[in-house]
Amino acid sequence: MSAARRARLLAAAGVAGACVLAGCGSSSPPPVSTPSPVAAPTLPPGSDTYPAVDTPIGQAPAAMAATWRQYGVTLIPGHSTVDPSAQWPRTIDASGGALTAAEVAAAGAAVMRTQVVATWADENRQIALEPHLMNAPFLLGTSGVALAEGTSVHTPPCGEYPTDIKVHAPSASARDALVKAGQNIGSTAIPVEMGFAGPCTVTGTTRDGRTVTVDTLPAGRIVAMVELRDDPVLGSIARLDAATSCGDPAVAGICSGA
Amino acid sequence: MRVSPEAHEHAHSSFRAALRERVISIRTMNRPLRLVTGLAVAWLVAAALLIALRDHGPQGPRVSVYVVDNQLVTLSLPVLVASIVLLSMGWAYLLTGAVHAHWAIRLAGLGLFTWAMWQEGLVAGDGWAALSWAMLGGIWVVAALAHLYDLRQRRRGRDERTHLTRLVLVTFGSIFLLAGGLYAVAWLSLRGSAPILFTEIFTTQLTTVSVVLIPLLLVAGVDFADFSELTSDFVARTMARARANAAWLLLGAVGLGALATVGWQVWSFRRHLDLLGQELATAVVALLLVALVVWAVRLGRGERRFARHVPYAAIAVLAILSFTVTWLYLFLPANAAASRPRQDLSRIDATLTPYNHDGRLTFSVEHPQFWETKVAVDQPDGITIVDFDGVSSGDPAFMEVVTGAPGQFPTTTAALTTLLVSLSSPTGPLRGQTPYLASATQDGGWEAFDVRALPDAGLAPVRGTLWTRMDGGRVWILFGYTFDTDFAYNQPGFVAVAHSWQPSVRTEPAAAAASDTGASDRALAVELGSIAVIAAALVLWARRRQGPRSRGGVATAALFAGVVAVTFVAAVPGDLLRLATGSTHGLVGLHLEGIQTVAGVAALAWIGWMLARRRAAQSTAPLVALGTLLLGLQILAWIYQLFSGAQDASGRFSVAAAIILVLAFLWDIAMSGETITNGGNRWIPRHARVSLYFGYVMLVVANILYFSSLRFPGGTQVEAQFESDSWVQGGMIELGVPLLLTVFAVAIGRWWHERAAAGLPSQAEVAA
Repeated sequence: MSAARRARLLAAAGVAGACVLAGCGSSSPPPVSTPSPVAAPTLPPGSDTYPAVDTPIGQAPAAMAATWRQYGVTLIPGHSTVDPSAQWPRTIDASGGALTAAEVAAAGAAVMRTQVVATWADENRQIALEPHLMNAPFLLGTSGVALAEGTSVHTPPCGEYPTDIKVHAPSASARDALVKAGQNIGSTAIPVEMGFAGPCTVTGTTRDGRTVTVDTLPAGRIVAMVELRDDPVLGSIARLDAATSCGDPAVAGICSGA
Repeated sequence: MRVSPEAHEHAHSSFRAALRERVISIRTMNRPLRLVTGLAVAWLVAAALLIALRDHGPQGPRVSVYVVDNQLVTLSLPVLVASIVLLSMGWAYLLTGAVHAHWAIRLAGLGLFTWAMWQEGLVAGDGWAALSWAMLGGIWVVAALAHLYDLRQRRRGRDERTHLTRLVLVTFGSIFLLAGGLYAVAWLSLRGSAPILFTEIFTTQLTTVSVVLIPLLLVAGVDFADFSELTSDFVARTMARARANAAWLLLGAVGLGALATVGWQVWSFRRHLDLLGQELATAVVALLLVALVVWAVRLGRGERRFARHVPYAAIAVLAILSFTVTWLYLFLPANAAASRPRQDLSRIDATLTPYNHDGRLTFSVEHPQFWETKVAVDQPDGITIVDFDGVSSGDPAFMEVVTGAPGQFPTTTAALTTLLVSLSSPTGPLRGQTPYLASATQDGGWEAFDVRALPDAGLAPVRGTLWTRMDGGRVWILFGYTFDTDFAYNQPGFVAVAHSWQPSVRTEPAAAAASDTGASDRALAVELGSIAVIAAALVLWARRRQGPRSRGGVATAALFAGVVAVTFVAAVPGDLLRLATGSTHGLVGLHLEGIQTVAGVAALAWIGWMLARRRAAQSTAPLVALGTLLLGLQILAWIYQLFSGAQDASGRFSVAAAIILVLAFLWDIAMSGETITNGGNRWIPRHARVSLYFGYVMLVVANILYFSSLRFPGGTQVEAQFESDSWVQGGMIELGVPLLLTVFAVAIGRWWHERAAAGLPSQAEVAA
């Protein structure tokens, strides 16, 4: 995950707890809905949805454009962006045999694909793509506001690429603890431990061309709860449900390898 | 004193005759018609049992119906099936009635049904379309065959049309199967791809049907008044029948009743006697207006006899026409606006009203007045949240004003993140949604964010606008949200709230309130106007020379319409004052309690006057009328309270309310003879009338059963979308009370005329 999102997460987790105590989030709801299924002529299932390089949606083939238009993007990420590169760290199996080697490798690749697509989306102001990759806390905060204001957010490699990825066995106790803290975590989420170098300065280019500092992130280790998905458009991704630092008692057992 | 035996017998036979006229005559029905009637009653009872037992005993499997508030609304499968059967039966009854009526009614009925099925999406698409259209075509074929059979019989000289009654069962059975088949095909076509779409379409169709049923429910409310009048009249006349000391007994009973009525109202208003005083003051004005109506219809003159009962047609016309005019005026433009392209959408059509938060923390906003206000959290040293909720009024919009104590949130970004994360948490109202900030703009002193959301599968996406600002060290957030499909309509409401925000309470009236009368005010004006026009037209008609038979009915109808208009005006003087002058000084309207008090005081005054003049014997007829009025109003009040008491604390439709309403329809059926089911004419023969009438009953019962059985996860009842009980209560008050007053006025008018004609008070008064 990008470093900016790490910071956003920690801020959000703190205030969410405060808000629950204060009674934020009224129980009063919006009412009657009439959901209607949406269908569009898109690429056949199983097709390669990515162009070779980043391509404006208006220049993409019709079926590919229709496929990506469902996700609200104006620019389609190319293989040159999402395919594995030398910067992707090695994935370590810390599941204690709960997952096969192939599953661990797939999880690591999915985490990194999610990471690079999200960072690319920040850079190219493709906000609508991001909810498909992660939960609300990662979409808000200073980066979320900057993106909404039209600022292009640049996450340097220290924030984009972790130094290592450890895939752990699913942990019901960690999940329960985080859910109690108000996080949205799916039942199939698995914990992925990552280390980041730092400090890392996230910058932005505003619409009028100014360069601003969006965030500064410290080095550290975190545990992310991710759900592996075979997204019909994005391919194999690891949807980021929640994350917390290794200092959080909820995940202390995971980080220590217990 | 004594009352003559002839008068006793007249009074008694008068009651029996009235009852005989009104009760549905099964004896005179042929066998097919009896079967049709019995089937309807049986299903009515079955529906009552289903409602009563729906939460008890073994529960059947549940079916997903639609999604609201990110929650899946479900329904018991047996209830869904029963609702579909009831609706199919309703259509079958209505179409059978139409098919056997005049050709114009036949064409209109079939055309409307076809359009309704196609419009609501119940005619399946894709490969099933041909079958759906075949079903619809089949209904037309049944109608055509019935018509051809009719023609053939008439060519053979059988003009009395009795031969068609044999066809009733055949047509009914065929159309029931075809209409039911349409629902089955719709279900089958959607079963694989989107089963919830079927229940959504079914819900939408029932909702549309319920709108059409509203005037009929108003009329059903009048039936209670009819029941009250009949019962109280019987009681009063029974007392008057007593051979010994009849007048004294009657006088004592009416006096006690009047005393109890007045005493009870004074006790009820003991802490607000000024309100009761204002009601009585309004009543005086209303009495003057009623006197004007009485004069206009020449009630006191002897040249015209008034019908003893208000013609059913007058009640139906007032209920249907006034509601239809209001509905067309109010809802059709709103629907048209909602279907226009987004850039052409008009603003939310509502009066803005101020909300002042006054205390250690002060601020003020203006909001659409039909959005309910609720202070969710109020911690001047912490977080304060005020909610504005359109949901309870049927508008899918929700807005929150949130502020934290100075220093609680370092930045607006932290605050908005807190709020949105909390709202989308597993316990928040936006659970299942992943909100994000799609764009941001400057809006005066605010930064406004377009908030979009990616929903989980099966949920409708939510959209909103979120405003943030810092003021006096405090973060302020205003967040309005609704479903994406309803955003364009509600966005102006959100903007109005945000733009009206100020960090202090406001003393001036809402800016928009003075200039914008709002939808409800316009509806009030249009409904009152249409009732006044109907009343004026009837009065003019009644004053023209007409045949003696029709004249009485028209005159009584004119009197009734006039009383309806007067009681309507008397009920809303504050609103009328505001409409006329813009003054917001509230005036207390005349309610049922005020009318009861006036009737009680009038009865006591009359008794006092008669006693003072030692002429109690001459007061019998007015006493019967007064006693009937007092008891009738009291019975109506009890039934009204029974309905209110049968609702649960949140105003939702309860089991008891459903059963009461079904019982009401049984009464409605029993008493439908004189007005509907015992008669017939060339346009709508009796068997067609009976079918049409039971079609209406079946549709109402289908709505009640369906909407009162919807459940949220956990078994919580969904707020009723079909408030049948409220409309019936409305009918009791708006039309039922005037009916009792009209019957009273006619009785007094008749007594007055007979007294003048006799030259002396006589015992013939009893017959009044």
